[in-house]
Amino acid sequence: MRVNKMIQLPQRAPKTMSISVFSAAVFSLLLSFSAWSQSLVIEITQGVDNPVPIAVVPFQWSGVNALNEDVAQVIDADLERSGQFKSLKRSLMLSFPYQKDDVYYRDWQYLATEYLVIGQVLPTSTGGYQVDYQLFDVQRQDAIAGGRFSGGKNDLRALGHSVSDAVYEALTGLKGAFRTRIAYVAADKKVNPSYYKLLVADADGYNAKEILKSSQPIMSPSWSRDATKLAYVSFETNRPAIYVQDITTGQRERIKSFKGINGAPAWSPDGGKLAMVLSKDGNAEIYVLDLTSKRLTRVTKHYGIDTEPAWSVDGKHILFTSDRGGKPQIYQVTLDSGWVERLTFEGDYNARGSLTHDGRFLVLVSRHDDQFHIAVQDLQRGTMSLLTQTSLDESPSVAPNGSMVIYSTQVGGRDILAAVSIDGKVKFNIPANEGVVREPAWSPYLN
Amino acid sequence: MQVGNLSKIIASSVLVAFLTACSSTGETTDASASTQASQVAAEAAALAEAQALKDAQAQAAAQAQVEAQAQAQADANAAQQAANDAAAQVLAQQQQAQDAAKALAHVIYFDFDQSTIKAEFRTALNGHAAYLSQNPSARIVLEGHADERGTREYNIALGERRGNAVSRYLVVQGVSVDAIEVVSFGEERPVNAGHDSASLAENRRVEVRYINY
Repeated sequence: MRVNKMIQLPQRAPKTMSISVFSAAVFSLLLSFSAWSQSLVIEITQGVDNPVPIAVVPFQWSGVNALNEDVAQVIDADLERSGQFKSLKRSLMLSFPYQKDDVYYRDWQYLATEYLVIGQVLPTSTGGYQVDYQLFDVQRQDAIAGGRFSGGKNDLRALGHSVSDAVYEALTGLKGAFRTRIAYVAADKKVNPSYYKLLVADADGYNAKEILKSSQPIMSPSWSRDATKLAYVSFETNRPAIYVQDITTGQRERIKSFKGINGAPAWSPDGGKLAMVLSKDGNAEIYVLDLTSKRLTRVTKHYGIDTEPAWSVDGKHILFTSDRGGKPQIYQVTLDSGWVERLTFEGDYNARGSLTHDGRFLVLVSRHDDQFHIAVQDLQRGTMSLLTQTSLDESPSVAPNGSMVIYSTQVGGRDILAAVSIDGKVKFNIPANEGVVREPAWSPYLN
Repeated sequence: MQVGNLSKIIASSVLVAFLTACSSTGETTDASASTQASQVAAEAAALAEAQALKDAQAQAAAQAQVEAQAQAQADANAAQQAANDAAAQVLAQQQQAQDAAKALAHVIYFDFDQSTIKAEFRTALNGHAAYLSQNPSARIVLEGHADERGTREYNIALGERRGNAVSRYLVVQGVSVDAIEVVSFGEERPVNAGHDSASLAENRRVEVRYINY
């Protein structure tokens, strides 16, 4: 439960924090819990065998009013969620330094911490915040990275995620994907009236925001490249239609509503096109809509089912699911030539393929022993491995840095979201506190 | 009654003519006067008779017209009644046909990842086909559904394939393509929320939904 995650305030409060500010901080934290009622809760279920010990010291705040977010806590949770780090409990910390001169390496060596993150939050002249951070290598007794992020008054958590991204990149060489979002579909059939919702939350499950609510199914959210819009399928007219909606303004446009299927929208890497599935010409086929010229081009032509388009990194190919060989498998079509090749051969049900950012790994749903798992196929080596052992796993969506895959699964008969690292070593569940949640779509990097 | 009236008119005319003839001859009782009187009387009687006949004819004609009108009205009423009866019968038949169509199975079930129409559903589909071809204004939506296994968009395509299979079956039986619309909901609208194989089987279906009968 979220309440259990209430932060532990520093035992030794920074000098500038008065008692009144301290209690104000507790009060504002309690207030913010109610706003989280629709949020997702992350439960880490599996991490790497030897996670790297790291300490994130509470950030110093020099402003007047209490902050309603604990930036260090945000960073701590991000790094833990990656499964690659084990963060030090605050209650074990011997000191709370926030600038380089106050760091006593010996204290941190004693606590077997390998890396140390310190920082401070400063108010900006425009009413927002500036976050300064520094990362130290405790063994080498040296600063590795440091920097500054600033934002508006509602951006404190986002600024924390930016620090997490920078720390993660400095320590792993891979750009962090903590300051990203997930779109997902929630449904509750047990309430009256039953509903379907499209929601967007931060990648850590916070700040869930309703984008659309309907009495009819909502499906297949897909992010625009700039992460400002979502394309999705809604049955609100009792028939499927593809919509594009600006997630900030709420403004939306119906893109296609032909007779039959209008489904599986997928934004091209250049952001100018939308691949989709239409059955207006007889059965499910892949089409590409140029969003500027509005020109619609048919890509596949086969009496079998062709669906679930996903773009290659260079935008020159489209991966899709087809049962043209008898059973669903992943194929790839080259847009210029129309040349189609089959990519998967292992197993008799492989579907909903998508590629990691580097194009090396194909993430998909694969059936083995009548169970549906998330699998990954190394396109260089041609080997397929299963990332999940649960059944009914579906809708995998890869983080923009290729590190994690978010997907939906069933636990106790309910759909929940879960995530697994691309190497299968790290797992966490993201259950919702009402109804069921499914079809997660991980956003691109936010600008 | 009409004949009675006419004889009264004639009788009274003859009487009037006779009295007139008598009065014009005064008290004279000679033969010539008597003959003259009876001639006048006869003429008057003939005149009266002609007039009476004419009147009678006119009256008869009027009467006939009234009668014809009444008959026509009666005939029209009868025709209307017959038409009403026929319409009611058609309506009743239609209602019966509609009830029969309503009584048919409206859900066709399928095997996993299959869109083959099983033999057990042909009777129901034949019934729908018969109703639809006899009632050209009837419209149906075939809602295709899949169970939760497999990916969502693939299941949308699978639901449509099932809907199309049912549509083709009906068209082959003589139903107009224009009477049918196929809409697939994939796995998004299960009828049974369970996850056991019996529940899943209930969800792999095409629902025949009449928009109008």
